Amino acid sequence: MLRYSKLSINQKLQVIVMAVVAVVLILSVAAFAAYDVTILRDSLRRDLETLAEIVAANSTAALSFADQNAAGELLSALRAKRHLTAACLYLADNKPLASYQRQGGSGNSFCPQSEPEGIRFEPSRLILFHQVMLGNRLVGTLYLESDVEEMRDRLVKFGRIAGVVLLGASLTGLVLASKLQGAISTPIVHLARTARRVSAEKDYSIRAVRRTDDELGGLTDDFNEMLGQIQRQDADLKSALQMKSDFVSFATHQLRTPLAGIKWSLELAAQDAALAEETASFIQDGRDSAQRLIGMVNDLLDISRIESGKLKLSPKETSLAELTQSVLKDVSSQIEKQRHQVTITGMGEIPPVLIDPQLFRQAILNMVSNAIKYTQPEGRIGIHMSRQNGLVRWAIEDTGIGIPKAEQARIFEKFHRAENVYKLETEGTGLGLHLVKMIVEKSGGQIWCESEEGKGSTFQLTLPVGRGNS
Amino acid sequence: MSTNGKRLLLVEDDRFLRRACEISLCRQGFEVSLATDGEEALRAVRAEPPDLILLDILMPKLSGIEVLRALRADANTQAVPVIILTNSSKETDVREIQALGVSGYFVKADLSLEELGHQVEQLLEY
Repeated sequence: MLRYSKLSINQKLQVIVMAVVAVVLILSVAAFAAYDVTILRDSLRRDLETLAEIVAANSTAALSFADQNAAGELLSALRAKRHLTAACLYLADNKPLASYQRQGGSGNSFCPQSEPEGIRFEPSRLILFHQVMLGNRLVGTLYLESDVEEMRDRLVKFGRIAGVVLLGASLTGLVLASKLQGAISTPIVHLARTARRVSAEKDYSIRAVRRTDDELGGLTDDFNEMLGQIQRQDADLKSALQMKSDFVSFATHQLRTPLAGIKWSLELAAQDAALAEETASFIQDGRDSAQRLIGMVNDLLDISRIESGKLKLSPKETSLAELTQSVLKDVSSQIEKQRHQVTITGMGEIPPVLIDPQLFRQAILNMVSNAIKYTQPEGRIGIHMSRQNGLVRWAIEDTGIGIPKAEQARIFEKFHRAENVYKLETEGTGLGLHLVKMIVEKSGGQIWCESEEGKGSTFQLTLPVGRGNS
Repeated sequence: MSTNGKRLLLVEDDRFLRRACEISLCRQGFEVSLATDGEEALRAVRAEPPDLILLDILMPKLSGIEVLRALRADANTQAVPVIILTNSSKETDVREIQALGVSGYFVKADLSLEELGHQVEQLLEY
């Protein structure tokens, strides 16, 4: 069965109209019926009383002489009264003298015990006892019993009339309701459709049409006003995002050009074989610094492009082992400088993964660089690769300064740097791990860290095994 | 085959980059001529097509993409190999450049002069 709350507004309005029509009609028919039945009862009672008086007046002689035949004849004349079902005449000592029954039968045995004067309705009959007086002397009692067919007929007739009227009124109500409800339901349905279109098409320039001057008209105006606000904010947001994106690409170009100038000029300067050792080391410091700045600009650009959804991944079946080795080759001078001991295990165990190699290289580089930077000289760095239930696991473990417990949850946030990194060095932007996380997640993987302050950190990531290798 | 005497056209508007790049390539034995904007580059190529063009993208007058388009549209310059050296990373540019056909695409800040020399050498050897 349909639930009321699931009905449309049109259907609800119709249900309401029909319910009101039905209730009003049933109540008024019931009131009329009750009134009519009361009147009918009064008239039935009066008729029976009048009849009783006539019969009583005619029966005084028969009663006075206890004339059974005369009494019997008198009562049988009552046959003319269609609704009268039974009658009895009692002598003054309450003994039945004569009786009458419409459906035939003889004998006085059915006559009820005589009662004092009175009239009353019983469920399916009206009964009356009348004292027959001769002058002031009681000569007997008359008993009359009438059916209430007339009343039942009347009620049935009322029921039929009520049914016909109800049907007619319901049909009229239905027609009227379906014509008139439009005044209420059309604006609401229109508003609902407009709202649905706006959210489906993300088109905030759509407006609802105001059709009435009532509350629904006001609602339509407010709805349109809200749409206007959303439209303006949406436009502002889009232009802000565009500005941000434009700014990032502009700034990237503007920053990279002088950075490349520094980098290349220092590269040329370093080619001079006659440089004093100290000067050469200054030049190398300058080159390292320039490289770091370039790295930051690249990180910023990558983050901005991932955030704006502009970065299109080009995933390829890639060997994480080879990628890791190539990164380690690039940072070998830093590892040597810090005299770290680096071990790699499980390189042969893992199948290729589907990642964007250039982008993922950045993620691995950031993690390896962190392990090198945040481990005191002569530390140990271990890279472990393994395969677990359709996932490739890659982990880097160091014996470095670790990450304080309170900071571990925030370590992947943009611009966040753990408090204790300043003990070792102040380089860094708080972008590296944020970028790592974005790249790993964009590649369909997960990354997390475990660390104990002062003992070391482990960064672990899992990636789904590439297609055709699972 | 030696790369000595191979003529390169370096198109770069930033004078510091132009200087560093020119000196590095000269030290590696190439003959380098210079252009500082797109129009100058086109004039130089049309006057005497070089063996290889090193082309910047964001430049005054004519952008590198416009230069590349003009080169590819002209039968005389169609086949000249081009290496793009840029610092911009607009995705739409990258796609058009690839469609026009280049021999290399490098971000200057991410490239060392030594690496650039290797790339040029490799390209001209084959």
